[in-house]
Amino acid sequence: MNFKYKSLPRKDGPPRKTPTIPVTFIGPSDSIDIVAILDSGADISVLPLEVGEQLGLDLTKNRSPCGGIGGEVETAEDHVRVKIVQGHENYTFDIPVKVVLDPKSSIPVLIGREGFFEEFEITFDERRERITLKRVAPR
Amino acid sequence: MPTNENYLGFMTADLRQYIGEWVAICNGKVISHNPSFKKAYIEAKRQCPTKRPLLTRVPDQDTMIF
Repeated sequence: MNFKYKSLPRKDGPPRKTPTIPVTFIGPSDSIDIVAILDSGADISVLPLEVGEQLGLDLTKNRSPCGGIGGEVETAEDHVRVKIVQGHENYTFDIPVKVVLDPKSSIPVLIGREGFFEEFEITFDERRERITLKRVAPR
Repeated sequence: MPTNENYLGFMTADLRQYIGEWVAICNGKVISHNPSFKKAYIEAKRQCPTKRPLLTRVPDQDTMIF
């Protein structure tokens, strides 16, 4: 599967070419089609509070602070089913996610490594502004 | 699953006016936008009741790295 980088505008500065992929998150309450940022620097996937609530994820358990360049935020960890489709390729599997509990957080949806990157051989081709996901056999 | 039409709509959309907002795309076009995910999502479902909107947040700052 190949996905082109998307040029996303920024408030201060030029637009940035960003590696994004379309996925469906399937939770206990709802399933939502979302364009997520594929973030090889993120240990784990991250959802904003409103998305976690809409999916019906359990936000009461596995709470912990989580740190990054933007500082430390309180999160709740759960699992969500993720589906990714392109052409005849169609993959569905569960990944862990951290839901940022601060309703004022401006975090976008990030797909991090745990649970996702081991499902594929992933290439970030900066020159061609393209991500390639090649399915690999589960370990 | 995200329709190809909605994904192509996202890839070709000029999102400059939506910085810091959630954007919902249906039938390949932006049909709602709001700083609140839920408001953008509910409005998209209202406008496109039989289809699945594609949502994304346009970042307003460099993305936090976990």
